[in-house]
Amino acid sequence: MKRYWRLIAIVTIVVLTIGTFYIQSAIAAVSYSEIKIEKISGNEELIEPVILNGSYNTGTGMNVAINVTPDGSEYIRNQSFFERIQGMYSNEVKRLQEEYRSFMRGKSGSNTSYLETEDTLASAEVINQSVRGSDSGDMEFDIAVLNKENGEITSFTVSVPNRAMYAQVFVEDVQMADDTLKVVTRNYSKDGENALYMYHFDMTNQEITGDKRIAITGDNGENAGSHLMIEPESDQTAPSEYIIFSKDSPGGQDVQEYIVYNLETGDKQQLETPEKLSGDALLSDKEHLYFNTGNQIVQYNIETDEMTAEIDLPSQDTSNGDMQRNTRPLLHVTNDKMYLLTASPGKKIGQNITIIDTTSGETLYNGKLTIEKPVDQNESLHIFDIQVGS
Amino acid sequence: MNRFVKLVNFELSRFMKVYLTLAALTIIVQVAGVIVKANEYMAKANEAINEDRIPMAQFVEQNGAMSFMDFTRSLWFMGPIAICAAALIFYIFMIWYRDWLGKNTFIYRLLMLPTARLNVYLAKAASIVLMVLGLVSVQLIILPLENSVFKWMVPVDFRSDMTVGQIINWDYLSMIIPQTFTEFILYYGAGFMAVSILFTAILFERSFKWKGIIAGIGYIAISVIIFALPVLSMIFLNREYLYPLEILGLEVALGIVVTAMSIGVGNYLLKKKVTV
Repeated sequence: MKRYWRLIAIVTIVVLTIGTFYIQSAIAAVSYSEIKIEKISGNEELIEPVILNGSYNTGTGMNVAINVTPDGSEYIRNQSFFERIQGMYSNEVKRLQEEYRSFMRGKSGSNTSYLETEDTLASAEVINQSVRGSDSGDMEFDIAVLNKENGEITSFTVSVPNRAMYAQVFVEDVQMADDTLKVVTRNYSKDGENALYMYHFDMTNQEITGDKRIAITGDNGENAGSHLMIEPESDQTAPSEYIIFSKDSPGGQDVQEYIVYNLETGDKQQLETPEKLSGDALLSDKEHLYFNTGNQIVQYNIETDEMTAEIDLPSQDTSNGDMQRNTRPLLHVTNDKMYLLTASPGKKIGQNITIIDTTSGETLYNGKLTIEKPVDQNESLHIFDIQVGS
Repeated sequence: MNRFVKLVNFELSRFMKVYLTLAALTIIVQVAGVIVKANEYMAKANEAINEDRIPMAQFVEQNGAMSFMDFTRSLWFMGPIAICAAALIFYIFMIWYRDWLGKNTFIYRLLMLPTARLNVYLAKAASIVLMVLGLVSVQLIILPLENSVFKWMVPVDFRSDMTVGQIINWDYLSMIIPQTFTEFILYYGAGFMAVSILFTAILFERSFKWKGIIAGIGYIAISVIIFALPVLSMIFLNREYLYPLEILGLEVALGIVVTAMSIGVGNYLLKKKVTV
């Protein structure tokens, strides 16, 4: 036995050290501070399904991804290995993956590629794009529709029309009417233009039946220098009648036009927005468009061309340029409720989250993000997404 | 089993001198490195404060507080790890070849032992594994000590503290000391698979000489392809048909298959084909 001292020594050291390390790190899983949402006023139940995605900077230059929920925060690094390898899909896509596992197999689109209604789930993606956009001869649409009631899946692929012209094509929205799938895409041409297109797909005959350009900007002629931006929808996978996009005037001036495109009729209508709404549109939700004027969030109804609600924002500290990024309010609207995240002036952690009823304008909940024990004076938190689970 | 344990002990003893040197080297160089790096920073700070008359707070703001990461990203820390890794990789080959070198080819005696020859193979593999884990343990033990030396040398105002857990989260360290025990088993299991593939390739060479080298390389290629099959098929078909968890399950199964195959082929070569 004595002669085996080397073996015994090494085995003992190894087992003890590594064992202790992992046991200890399992116990002290959160080596970063806990960040919570504390209620200031209102109905706590409303904040339950909210998850805030963000990034926490430790002050030593390390950024870690974090999800903040009312119960506590979860650092992405601290999740179990199995949770982490499942990929960084949004909650919506993850839910779809769980519920419709075989339909979602092999699909890599983001929220914008899916449409979910009560009885169908549709997906449209563009596949076979080369990463650098130099050789795109094979670009195809990959279309699939699941009939939830009988489980039937209709799927087919179609080449992208005029694909040799494009460097990249992204799916911005998917809508459906009867048996026709309507897909809005942003196409980047190889010669520098980018345009919004609408394609129609006939599901019964499994072919492409429509191909229309909605708007274009880019390097040539009258559109030189202008920018097109689709206003993000609050709920990307829900059906909606409109696509709203904003267009800079050529020359990059601050004037922006907002154009509403009605997917059903194909009508394009420019919004006549009042003077004070010349600021950013933050997001759209069915027939409402939300603007940030600096002091207020204004809800604008595009069907009636009226401002239907105005919500005051807490005073923003716009003096420090570095904080600009963090002081832009973050908005999410769903189920007639608006979830608003604003930064507290002068503080790097301590954002306010408010839930407001959009029909009545009443504040239903007001809460604040707090960190348990501040570790370092240089730490900061930046939230970039609000997700509301169902 | 007894034979196996004896053989492992034997293999460890043979390498013990080099091994202890490596461990000592790591400890000494890394601790020296903490001291050197801390001194460098403090010298800069002292110069700024005393000679250039810059107030302390401003110095910290301009140059950044020193954190333990400044040390771990330096050669003082990574150098010894790299040397140990290189030495052990080299020994994966030498653990076999040293038995054929010299006047009295030791392999003759090893193969004549009244024990299954598989024990020789497994003992060598186990020794390598234990030695790697031993060095990892040494690193794990000295890390908090180094952190303490660092804290002792740099006054609180100048430094940005990190817990050992946070330090290990950094890129390179998290490869050898993964975050969770599951990952640990997966990474080091894959490492063991690699060692067994290499061992079998070495035995091919020792059995067939020149043709053996080609056979060895071919064997490595086949093993890699089998193991990477799920990923390769995803690249070629340009689609991801498997969910990540499914890929993980498949890879674990393939890993076990490749390891078993390597040990099996190695055993066969050792019994029938090896030339002394």
